[in-house]
Amino acid sequence: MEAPRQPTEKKIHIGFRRAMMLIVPYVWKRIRAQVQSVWLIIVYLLLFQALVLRLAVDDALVISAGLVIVILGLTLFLEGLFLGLMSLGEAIGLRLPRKSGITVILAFSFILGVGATFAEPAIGILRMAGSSVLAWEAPLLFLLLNKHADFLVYAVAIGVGIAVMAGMLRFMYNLSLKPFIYVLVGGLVVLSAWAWFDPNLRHVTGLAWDCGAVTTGPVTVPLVLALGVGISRVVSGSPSGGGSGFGVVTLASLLPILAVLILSVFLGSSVPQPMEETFFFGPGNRSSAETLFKNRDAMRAYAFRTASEESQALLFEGGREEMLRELGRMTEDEEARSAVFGSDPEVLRRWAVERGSESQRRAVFGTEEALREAVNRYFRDDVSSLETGDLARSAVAASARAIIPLTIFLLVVLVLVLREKLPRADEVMLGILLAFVGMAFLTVGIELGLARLGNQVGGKLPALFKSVPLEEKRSTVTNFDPGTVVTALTSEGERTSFFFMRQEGENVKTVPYDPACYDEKSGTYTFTPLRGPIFEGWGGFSGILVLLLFAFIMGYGATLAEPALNALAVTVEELTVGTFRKTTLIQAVAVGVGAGIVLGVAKIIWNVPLAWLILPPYVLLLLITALSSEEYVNIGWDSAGVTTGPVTVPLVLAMGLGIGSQVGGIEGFGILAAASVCPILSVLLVGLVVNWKRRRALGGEREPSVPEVVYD
Amino acid sequence: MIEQVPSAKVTGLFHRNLTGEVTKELHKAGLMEYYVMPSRSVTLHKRRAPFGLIFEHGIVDDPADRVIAFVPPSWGRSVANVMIRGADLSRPGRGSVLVEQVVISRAHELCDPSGNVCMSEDSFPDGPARLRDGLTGICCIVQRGQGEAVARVALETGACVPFITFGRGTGLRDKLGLLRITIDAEKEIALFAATSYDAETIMDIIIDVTKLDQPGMGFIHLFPLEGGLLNMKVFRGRHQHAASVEQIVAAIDEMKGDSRWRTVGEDLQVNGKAPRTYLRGLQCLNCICDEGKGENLVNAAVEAGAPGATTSRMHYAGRRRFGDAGISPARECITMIIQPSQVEAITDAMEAEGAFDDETHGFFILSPVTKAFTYMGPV
Repeated sequence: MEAPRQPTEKKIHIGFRRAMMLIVPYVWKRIRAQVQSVWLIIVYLLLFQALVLRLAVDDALVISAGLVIVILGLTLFLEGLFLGLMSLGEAIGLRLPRKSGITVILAFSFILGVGATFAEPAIGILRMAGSSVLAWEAPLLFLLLNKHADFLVYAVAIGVGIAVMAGMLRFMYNLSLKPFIYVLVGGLVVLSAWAWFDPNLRHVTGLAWDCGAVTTGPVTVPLVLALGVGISRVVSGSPSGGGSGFGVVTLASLLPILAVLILSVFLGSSVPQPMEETFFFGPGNRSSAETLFKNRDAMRAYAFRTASEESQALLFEGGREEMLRELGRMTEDEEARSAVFGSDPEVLRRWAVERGSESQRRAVFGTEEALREAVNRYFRDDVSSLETGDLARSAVAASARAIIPLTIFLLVVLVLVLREKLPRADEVMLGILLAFVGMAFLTVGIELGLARLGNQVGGKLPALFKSVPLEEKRSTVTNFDPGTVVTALTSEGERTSFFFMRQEGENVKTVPYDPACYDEKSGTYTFTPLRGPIFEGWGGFSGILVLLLFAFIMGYGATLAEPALNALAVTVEELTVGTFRKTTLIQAVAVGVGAGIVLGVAKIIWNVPLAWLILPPYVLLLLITALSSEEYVNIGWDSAGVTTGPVTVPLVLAMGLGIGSQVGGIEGFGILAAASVCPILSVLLVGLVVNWKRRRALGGEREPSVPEVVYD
Repeated sequence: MIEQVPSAKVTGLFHRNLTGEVTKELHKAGLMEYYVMPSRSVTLHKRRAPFGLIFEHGIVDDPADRVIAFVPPSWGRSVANVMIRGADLSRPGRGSVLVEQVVISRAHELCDPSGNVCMSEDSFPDGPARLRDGLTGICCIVQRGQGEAVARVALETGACVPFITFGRGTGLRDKLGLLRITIDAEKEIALFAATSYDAETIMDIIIDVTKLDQPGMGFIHLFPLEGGLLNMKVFRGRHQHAASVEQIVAAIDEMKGDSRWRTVGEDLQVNGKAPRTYLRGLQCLNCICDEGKGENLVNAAVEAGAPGATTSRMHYAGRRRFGDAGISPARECITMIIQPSQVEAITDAMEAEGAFDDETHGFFILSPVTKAFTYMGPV
């Protein structure tokens, strides 16, 4: 507040220099905050790659540019959230219950929930997690991720829609969150346990629980949170309490799990059970297998990409010969080709070189010379070029889809339904613009920087405890001359073969020679350098320990940078007038996520069934929830929904898939679900400790009771 | 519309866990209408390092509530006693109660405080008046994050346990256009009281500590209290005696009749600073209105000459809140410190902006400010 002064003019005009003096510290302060939140994960990944794995960082320039873009993106996006989306959400929340009836509120909530899911479809993430799912091993899961992926999105959307409705009803009637949790989590635990006995449903449980963790994205969470805070302020009967306004995110993470499980029970009846690969593609199973694909061509395309040659041949009536004839025909006939491989002939040729068998290659290329020429060409320019332009375009499109329709919907509701002016319109509009730009930056930056770095580290992690081939260092020697192979003796007299090789700009080095890697026909020798095990103590267990420690710190560090968590923590601090500090919440959640990711990695390494990972913690949570105060239950459960956001997910998945591919896990599902159960636990535990201390401080000082002396 | 109604403002500051008890007692006593502002209480605790070393007095925050009731002037002490009984404030460390005399300058009909006490005076606990005299209220508005520094002064001078609420400041900021987002509007408002002998010294220390004599740092003012009961338990932690120091202090206060015996003014003198120009004889104008309407009212007030305002959110709990025309439970409170000569013009301007219509339910309270300080610009 300023001192009493004479009335001044309405607006002060500020020159450019003065404006910069205001803007520069403002921007700098926010960028610094984001640097503080992401430096740990970045420095950690770089140091781990360089010092522990002892590998150089590839594309270091692109990655560092990407990281700078991540920081800018986070800064802009968060500022945009606070200025624009959250103010808008809260403004509507404050006015909606005053101006409209319960049906309007419920309809609004449902549309908001469904719309938010369509705006931020997590299906891409889930597909990535399920990229190694095989149609014959988990048919139902395959169906949900591919042909019926839209059903999956609808189910999740309806789940979120109902969740937002239920959340608003909770505020209106001032209901506790606990019964909702007991019923939903109890039901889900029972349902998942039951699903465990059906081989098809068993694979889907991981997907379902991950859906719950993933659906609540960085735009939805803050928006729903702000809306809830607004509504509960107007309708709540209780005067205060830090928990009011939270809880919608919890429901929006639990109900989609239920929706997906129900959907899979419905679809499950018409889907074949898991079976052997050859039987799956065999003629006896044709009709039921084809239900998993759009048409026969799609099934063939899938078989060509993933199945063995034997299974591929089963799809052609004439067997192997027919298949080879068909492949030959595809090289000329564009129509036949585009049904299976797409219209670009390059795709077919590349497939033949990379995956095709000897006879398939011959069918595609015809002559030995053409094959040799193609092999040389494809192995030379193996590095896929970086499509920065495409990346930027798709990021802008994704950002626009996530933010613009939702904001327009909210503005329409505010102006047309509630007939209210938008408060601080210029600020809100600037905020929406910042959020939009920030989201696009964030997507590009993560793709270029963080995810790339995460993939590099994640793929090499198994090298900690076993030796892994460094796939991207695979090199091919064309025109190989077996005459250069030299034989050496070990001290025991064993013979080993190797040859000398000199690559551009490097010294001469020796490469072990394995006759199996030499392809006489094309004259190429392909070899993949090995790495690890880096830690060999205790029979490889020390390497696994280092890996688990890595997973913990990575989960912890990535969570610190999550924008939705930041928004939640700021809201919590604001509503509790600073008694629940932002840093306390973020630290508690980050430790929880770290622990959850350790569990998830342990699941992959030792192939622990997912049910063991998810169900006991949730049962434990039910107990702790019963003991905790309403405020902490709301905040703790909500923080579960925000943990798995744009920063954590790519890193966690890269790591999970990297380890999974080396130790033979089926899919990468379940880590995200584990990463969202543990933070609830940690926040509730913090709550229990804090409340115990407070009660002790308040009740501790009873007035000393004076024993009453009675005189007879 | 109601005009010029004298009234007593009773402010109870309690630990959040006690709010339920207090409001239950208030309902029992017939008081149906009050406001609740979420806040936090700040206490010192000895932070222990390994090997039994104490290196610092840390700060603990507890969730708390500021419960505010407006009642007819003569009821002030009685309602305060109800709060004291409800929260059992005779035990140190549970909360404070402040009573001040204010004037409701203008208000929407629904905000009439005269009907706020519907039972006879007998239903209030009379008992010994436990309120102390000779207290002065201190209210300090600072940038977000500085509240702890103010609180530390209150605690370390042994004044009492301060309570902090959040608010948003408006002033120069809103004249900047969109550039305003570069200036943080978030404020912290520390409210506590001290003996009148010490209040001015404490005010000086706060000005020093939080650099209020520099531009944009904040505002502090003192206001007269009719009486109060202060939470003196500024330290948290175990102690080894039958009664805590706070209990002993309270007992001696009661025996002596006032707290002059423990004036610390001489020790706290701040020296070596240029004499300060304080603002005296100002008025504090509090406007309570439905949430979302405050912004327009503040703009109108600023145009009419108010230097700036601080807005905080509060929750209205009362029997009149139901129904479409009722008062929204989500309310906000605008605080402005202005010259007495400006009061008419500013209230008129806000009335013209619709302060007393059925969507705003404005409620304007005027109270005296004995002494205030802020940066006044180069003299």
